[in-house]
Amino acid sequence: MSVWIEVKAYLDAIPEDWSALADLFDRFGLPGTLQQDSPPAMSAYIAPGDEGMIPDLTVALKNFGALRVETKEIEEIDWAESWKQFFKPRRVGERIIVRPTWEEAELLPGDIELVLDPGQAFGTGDHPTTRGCLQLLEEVDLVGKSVADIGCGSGILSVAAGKFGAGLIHCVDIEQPSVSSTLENAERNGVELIVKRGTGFDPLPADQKYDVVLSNIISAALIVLAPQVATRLHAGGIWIASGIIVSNWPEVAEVAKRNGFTMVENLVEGDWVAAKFLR
Amino acid sequence: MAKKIASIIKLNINAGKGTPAPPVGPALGQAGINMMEFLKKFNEMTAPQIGYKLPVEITVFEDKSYSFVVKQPLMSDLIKAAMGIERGSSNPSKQSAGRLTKDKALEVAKKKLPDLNTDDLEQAIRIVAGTARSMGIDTDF
Repeated sequence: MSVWIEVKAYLDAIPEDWSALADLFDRFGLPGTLQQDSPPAMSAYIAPGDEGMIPDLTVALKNFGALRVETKEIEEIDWAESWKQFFKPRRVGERIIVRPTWEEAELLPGDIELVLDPGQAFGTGDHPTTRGCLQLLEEVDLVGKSVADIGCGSGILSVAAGKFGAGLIHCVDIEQPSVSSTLENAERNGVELIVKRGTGFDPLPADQKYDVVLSNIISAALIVLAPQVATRLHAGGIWIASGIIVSNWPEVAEVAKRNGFTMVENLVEGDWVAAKFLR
Repeated sequence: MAKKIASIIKLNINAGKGTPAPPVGPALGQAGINMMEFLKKFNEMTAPQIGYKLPVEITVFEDKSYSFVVKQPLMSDLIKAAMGIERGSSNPSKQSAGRLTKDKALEVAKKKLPDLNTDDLEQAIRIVAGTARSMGIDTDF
């Protein structure tokens, strides 16, 4: 069980500006902080293995003016589990049922079940960006097709592609927890995925072209990725792009067009857009 | 009728790079809000400001819905950016990390003014100077 240490510095009054204290934590490699007004205090969290910094950090906080400094152990499970109560089996699109490992689901004839434990990775099928991708994906004839999933998160899109009959499926994510989560979810669903850690198409074979590219990331990353997708897709290939806030959609659409893509369909749900482009 | 507020969470996190690791995980997990949804939206909104730490104030309502506001980058980050330095002093009482001019302090104050409890620019400059000195940065005004 991983244990983090919360280091909390209490102040005598709410400062006019908290940032000098946040900056002190940052100098110790702790860029994220939580602040409270009553009683005034700021907390940062030390990752397992870095506890050695606590004495020096405590001295620095007291020199800064902290009234007292408290430490508390936080088990990773405390928050890793807490959101799971909100993750229930759900239908996405016409035929897809996304089921967390710890729940049961009733299937109808023709349903495709995706069994997931996303761990710390993104992609439970609960977010509009993931739902949009899955809806667009289920309309594509994937049998025997080659697929690249850039920013695979929990692997939910690739697992779905595999269940829909895709052949070669390459997955990439910048974060190790996502790589691990994708591999676990592939095994859980009996789908064969090749998963690499890295950025964009960098870790994938340079000469590999794909029939379908999936990327549920963020607009800024999609804009950077667009020229690479254009060169990595076969003519007539499909790019499903998601993670786009409505206000960024015109820019993403323009960049896609500039890179030779034709928009086939876009889905808008709440603040989010998912789109299917043809190369 | 306005929804009842259950709690307000104040975080300072890296723009565009929020993860479920602390402080986000424990804070949002305890509040019962959809952490991954928040992170996705936060990272999307703040990607253009990568390199800054941003204060974000999350209002959690009793029905577990939430809203959040992202503020201007931390004043300390704005000061460092204005001065072109990477960090404050590791020993502020003994070692200087540089000198902040009034022009640079004014630049920071103008950017940060919407988040401060004042609309007086001179007062805002004094707050900037106070933060700078706490970071081991000298001021000449």
